[in-house]
Amino acid sequence: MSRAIFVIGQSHVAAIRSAAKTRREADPDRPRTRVIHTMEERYAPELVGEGDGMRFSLALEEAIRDQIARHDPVRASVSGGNVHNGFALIRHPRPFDFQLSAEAGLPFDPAAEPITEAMMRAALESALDRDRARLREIARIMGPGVIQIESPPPLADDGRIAALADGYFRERGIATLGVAPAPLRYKMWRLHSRIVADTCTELGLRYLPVPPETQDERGFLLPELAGDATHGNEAYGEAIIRALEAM
Amino acid sequence: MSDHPYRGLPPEAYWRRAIVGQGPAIDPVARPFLRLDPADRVATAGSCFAQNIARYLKRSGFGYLVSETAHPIIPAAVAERHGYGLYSARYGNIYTARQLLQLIERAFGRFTPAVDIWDAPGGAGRVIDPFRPTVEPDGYASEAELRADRAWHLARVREMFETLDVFVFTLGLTEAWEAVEDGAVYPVCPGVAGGRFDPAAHRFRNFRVAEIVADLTAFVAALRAVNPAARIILTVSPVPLVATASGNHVLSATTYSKSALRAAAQEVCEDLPEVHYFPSYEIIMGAPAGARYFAEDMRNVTEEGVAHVMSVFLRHAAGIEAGPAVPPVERREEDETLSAARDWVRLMCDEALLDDGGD
Repeated sequence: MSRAIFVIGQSHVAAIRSAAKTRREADPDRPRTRVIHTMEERYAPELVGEGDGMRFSLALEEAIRDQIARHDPVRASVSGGNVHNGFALIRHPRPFDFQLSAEAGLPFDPAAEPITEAMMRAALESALDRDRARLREIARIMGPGVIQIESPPPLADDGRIAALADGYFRERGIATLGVAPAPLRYKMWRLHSRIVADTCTELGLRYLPVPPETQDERGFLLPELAGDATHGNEAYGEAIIRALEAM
Repeated sequence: MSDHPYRGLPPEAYWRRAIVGQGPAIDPVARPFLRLDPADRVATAGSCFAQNIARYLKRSGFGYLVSETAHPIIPAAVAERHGYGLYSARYGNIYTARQLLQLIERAFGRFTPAVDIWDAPGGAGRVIDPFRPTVEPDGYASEAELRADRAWHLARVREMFETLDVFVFTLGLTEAWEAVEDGAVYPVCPGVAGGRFDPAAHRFRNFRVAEIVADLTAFVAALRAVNPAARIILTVSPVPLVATASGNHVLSATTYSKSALRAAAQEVCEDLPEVHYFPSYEIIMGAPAGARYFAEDMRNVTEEGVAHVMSVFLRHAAGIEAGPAVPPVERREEDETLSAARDWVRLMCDEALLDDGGD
């Protein structure tokens, strides 16, 4: 591909920015990948207004338009993509599970409190207001054809997440809660992805699932591509850039 | 002048003294009523009017028993749309005594209806629970999801029956539709909110007083088999039928239905210990109210009417003289675990923000 790439988002841009920097240092003449993290101080407040009237700040909108005008890049987004982790990264003291439709064979814990997929979806959707507003703004400012990239799959390794979680909660004097079961983490990620994909369809955005080479045989993120418990690392960012180049 | 049984009766025994000139604010409870202790766990079920009773009890300082709550990660508005918070468990409206009896029989594994899943109205492979067709507004995604949810629900129903101190049941209807095969009674006619009406498989029932008495008696026996000290309050909903399949005018059908329920409640209360009748029906429907407690459609009961009913209830059941305030909308705090997990995820996101690798 001979075009530059422009990726907008929040925390998930870090992996891409890191990969882009390494690429640039290795080959300064290669078309560049640039990112905007919408929550950086220079754009604050990121969003102004309420509800359906929420808009990116003028500074942020101008920065986005400037990137597009100057580089005519392939336009992509990793906006949002972490709300599901709030629901199913830590084991809840009232264990729950849900059955994910249209994907056969996923485990369901019969001892856990069942929550219907419709309710789980509604709960997730209710937490996605801000992410939906961001996507609306991305569609409005960046135009049709923007590629929204699926958020990274969950890690399969309970122990690695537990170690990170224990450190965080212990520092704050909160008892260790443990890690949510891996199948629940996986299903929550899938459901979140469906919601975001549906929103993209409504907004005229394209949707790019995570590259298969970033996943293990069960669909979890390969451990060597994890930055922390919820984000990809530089190698993951490189895989995303390659996927965009291949489109 | 000779003595007779009417001489010396209390004022409430005389229409002129109890009703005339009293306005609509009648208190028709005459006999000693069941007394609630603040520690009593009170559970409710019944037709839609029972939702009002549940709403007020929750806010009146009683130990309102809810054995089936939405998981705390589910926002309150979502939980409400999915049938939580209306009653002590998520069974939706229970209109008939037969439906109540079958609920306890199903909960304790003594009755398994032959047909227990219907197609959802929207199709697309979604299904609904015929015995609580409205709890999932768009139906369940699959039979497996429905069965898992039902197993959980019936376990909570068992828990409710086993642990309640007082059970308030509001009788709503005599009319129902049942499965020809095994008599399973549905709260809603097949085909209305899902399923498909089949005249060979479904039939109309308009229960008679004796049948209602028998069903309530069997229910009380089943309840006391698992909870011998359970006390029961029966009420009759004043809300008229929305429609009748009896062939009668809907007003006549309503009159029959409420009359039969009222008569059955009386018989059961007279025959069984610790079963009490509370006159919600009389307060709203009685001539003193002059229909003022009905909304314009002459069917729905106004908040004023409900408040009057509940003020009488609280006076006799709890010795509370001040009328109950209209219950405020319930607020739910964010779940602690969800909040802590979100904070952690936010921190990881913030740390990613700090990594500005240069672009």
